[in-house]
Amino acid sequence: MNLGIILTPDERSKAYLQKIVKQKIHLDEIIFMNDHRIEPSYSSEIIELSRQAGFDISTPVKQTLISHEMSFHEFNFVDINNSSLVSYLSSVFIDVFIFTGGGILREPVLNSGPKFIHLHPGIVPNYRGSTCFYYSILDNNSCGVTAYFMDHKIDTGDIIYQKQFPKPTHQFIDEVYDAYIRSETLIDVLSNNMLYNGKFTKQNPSGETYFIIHPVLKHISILSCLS
Amino acid sequence: MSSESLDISNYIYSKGNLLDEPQTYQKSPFLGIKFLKLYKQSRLDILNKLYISDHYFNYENFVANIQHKHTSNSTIELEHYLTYLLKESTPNPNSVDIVLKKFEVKKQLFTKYDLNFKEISNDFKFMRNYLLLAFLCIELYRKNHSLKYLNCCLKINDTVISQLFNLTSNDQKLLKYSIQNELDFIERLCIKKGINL
Repeated sequence: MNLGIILTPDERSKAYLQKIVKQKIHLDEIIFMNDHRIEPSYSSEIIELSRQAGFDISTPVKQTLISHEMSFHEFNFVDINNSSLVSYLSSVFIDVFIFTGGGILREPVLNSGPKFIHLHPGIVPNYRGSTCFYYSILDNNSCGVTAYFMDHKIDTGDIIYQKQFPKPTHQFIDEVYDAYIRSETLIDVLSNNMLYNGKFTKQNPSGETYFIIHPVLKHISILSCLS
Repeated sequence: MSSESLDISNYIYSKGNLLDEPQTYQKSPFLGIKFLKLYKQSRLDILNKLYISDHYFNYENFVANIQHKHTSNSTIELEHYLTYLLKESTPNPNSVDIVLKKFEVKKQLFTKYDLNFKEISNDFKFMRNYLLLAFLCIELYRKNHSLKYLNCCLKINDTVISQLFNLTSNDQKLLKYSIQNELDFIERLCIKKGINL
């Protein structure tokens, strides 16, 4: 099976890529969607927490690629449905791409040839949608990640693997914890050859879909991690 | 409230004209316990400002007395649809979720939809519809404790508060009920999570 990854210049991609490199997992194709955004400056606290979580949030994606002499194909946009990307995906002989970004895949991308894996920060079907980790912390004091094959709906594809995590003990959920739990789950999937064994689970269509969490609930969720 | 000086203008999520320029709530910053205190005081201030001719709003009487009219075979009048759901002993979550999703995606509720729930009117400023959806979210959260409904109620209240001075006196009563319930739910959730608000 040929494996590829589609990266974007964000925390999630940094964590995925750095851990893949660390685990010496081979990638047959690397696509870097780069909108040349200004790299945020992170506090020393966030950087230290990210290092404890197994990646360095201060290291840009491109720097990791170059420093490890990894070949990659770069696009100057971050839209997964861009026709240039679709054309490229149709031309490469890759079975599965790890998708690190966000958004809904449209038919042209889904029909381009490869399958796409997403790491969703919620245990589906009960936590589909947006900002699920906050809701899960409020409900269960824990979070989970689902690795699944993407289809044209939101968080409904066949499940590859699910993993539970304890809630964080710090406030940097968006920056560090989200990337941490997704990347750890990804490494489990790849290190244990889960894509090869074909044991995928169809989702129960019922469940719950959440929308962007309101700041009040977000604050209660984070404060409950700190208390 | 504590003697600490709080600038309630820092609760920004009900500021501006949220109907014409909706709040996205994306990547909201974490500001600590102070933010929750600011939110609470902001809501309390709104409650103090609302004109209420009756001191006591009876929800059951309100639901019993609202008029439900049948919709046509080809269009959905949102007020009638929401009123029908409210009059059920337990609102049907699937039916409420259709409207909830509409609001969550666009932060606007239109007065008319087709049978596929695609908007067919341009009017999204009829505030009663927002308040009726808030009431449905309150009832469903009270029954099944799904945070999805409390989340939506918070956003609806932000939106309606941003239109405070355009509300009828009746709608102000409904808003007061909605905010009172929202505050009660939030305070209970904070207690459950060990947060002293």
